[in-house]
Amino acid sequence: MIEIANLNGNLGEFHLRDINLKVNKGEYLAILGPTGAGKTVLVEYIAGIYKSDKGSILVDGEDITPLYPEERNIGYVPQDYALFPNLTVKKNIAYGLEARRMPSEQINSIVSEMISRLKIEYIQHRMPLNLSGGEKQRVALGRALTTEPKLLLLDEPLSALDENLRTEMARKLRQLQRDVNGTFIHVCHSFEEASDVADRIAIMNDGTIIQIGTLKEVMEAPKNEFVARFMKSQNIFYGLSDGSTVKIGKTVLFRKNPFKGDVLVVIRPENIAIVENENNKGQNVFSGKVENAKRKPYFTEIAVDINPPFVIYSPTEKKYNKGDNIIISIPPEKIVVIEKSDS
Amino acid sequence: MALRSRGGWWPALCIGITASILAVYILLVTSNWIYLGWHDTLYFFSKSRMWERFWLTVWTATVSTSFSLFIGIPAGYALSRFRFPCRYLFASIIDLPIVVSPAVVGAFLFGITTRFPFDWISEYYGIYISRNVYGVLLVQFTVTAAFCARLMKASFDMIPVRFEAVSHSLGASPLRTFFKVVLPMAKNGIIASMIVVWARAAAEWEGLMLFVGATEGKTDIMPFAIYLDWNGGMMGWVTSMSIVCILMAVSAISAMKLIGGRSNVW
Repeated sequence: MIEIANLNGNLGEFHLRDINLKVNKGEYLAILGPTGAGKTVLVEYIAGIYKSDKGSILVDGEDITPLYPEERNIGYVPQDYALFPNLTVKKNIAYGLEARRMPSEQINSIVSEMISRLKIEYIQHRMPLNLSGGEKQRVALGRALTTEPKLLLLDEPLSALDENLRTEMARKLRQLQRDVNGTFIHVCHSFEEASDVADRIAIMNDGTIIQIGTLKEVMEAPKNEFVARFMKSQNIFYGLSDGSTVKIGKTVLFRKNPFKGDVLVVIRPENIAIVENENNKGQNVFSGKVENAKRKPYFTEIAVDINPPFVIYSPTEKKYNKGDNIIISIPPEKIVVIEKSDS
Repeated sequence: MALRSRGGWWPALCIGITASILAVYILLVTSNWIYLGWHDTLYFFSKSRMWERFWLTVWTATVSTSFSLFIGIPAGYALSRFRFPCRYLFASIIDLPIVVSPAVVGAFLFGITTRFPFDWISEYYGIYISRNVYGVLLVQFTVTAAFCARLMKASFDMIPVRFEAVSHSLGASPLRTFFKVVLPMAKNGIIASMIVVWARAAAEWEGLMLFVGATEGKTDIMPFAIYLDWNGGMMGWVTSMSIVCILMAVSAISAMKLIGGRSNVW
């Protein structure tokens, strides 16, 4: 298990602030955040590239904070994979084992097994310069995994791949993690990519972790406006709560909540249903006109001009035009009410 | 794929200026050759005095370049990668011999070696370096070591630090990382820099003039010999040795372009 407690680091203009994180053995954690959030820096601190100012990093109970990278047994795969260009694929994979001065027969056996597991036998004698993005990624993973690291850090490992290959490689990455029962931390800035691979997601911004949870937890219960926006919750409004209802614009939503006063209301577009029966007059049912309808690959995104305007996703093939009447229903349990903070 | 070529006065002016510079250099070399003539060229080139000077230049430049590399590679790596106290001061001091005239370096060397304890060591052990080939090596080394460190720094700066971070994460020590990853990756840059340093050492003469002085067959490497023969009015020797120097420079530049072109340093 990896435990990071109160980790602080100062890199000139950028500061890593109060990082607290626990990753269980065999868990796949994705660190998600916008560009400049500090994801790569955090990973580099865990790898030991930078020396922290405060805090500790424990791996299976052992404090590795004062250790140099070569003493940590933490695998690191940077964004461009950093395959050694002067070594063949096979030599790259054997590099960590040779550094540990293992007997050559043992090295050959481990390397051959890894090459076979990654299905890269056909490129084992090639130089890295002649490999495709997907091949490079597999070689980098093989090189990092042969040393059986206690933790593998992947810094945007899929960003150099095209979209189709990215989905395929994400699936393979997840399978590989399960096969080796490894503990992985994967940095990315796409929540689709994180959802493809991770057990849990840590949302990071401005040098600190804002929220950690499963994809469902982070999507359905964002901790603040930043997380809600980052997770593409398109209906985010400021409102006034009396504890049982929340008023946003001219609309009153029924939703019990522990707050009284100014609040933030978050409703995911996919949680708003379109009501076909015009006689449905239940709680949180509203009618309005279609303001805009855009067909996306798997749903239609509809903007409805209720005050305030809502965005909803319709999974059906039904075509909506501007000005069409539409009735929507918002289940109270799907309305997230967050106390409004000054920040 | 090539850029679409453009016509007009601006490209024509730029190309014209480039061509005129080239023409000046071609004129310089060919006029000397014409002045010398084929018969005299063959005469001077067949003399052992020419080739003794040539080999003295080649081997002293090679030895001093080797010593410069021993200093330049670790110093260049330190300047490129490590943060240590007075790093910028150190970087500035190491630049001094590049900026300061080699004549000043020669004068300082003379000053140092004639004072305690070097004068005492020379007297006691009978080791004299200021009037022989060891002096040539010392001047060449002093002038080129800093130059070498600067070029090596540029070669190491070209290698992203990520490669070292990955190597360390795989359990390799900093020393192993340096020899297995950094040095092989910097290979082309180092070779290209080595050629430039060698050419710089072979072209050195101002420092020699002050520190070593001229002893025929012992300290008169080619650029120095050109100066001495010029003073003696031996224009045939001056011209023929100048041609050899130009051929050496052209070979060094070609090798540098050939190897260094792949290193992104040159």
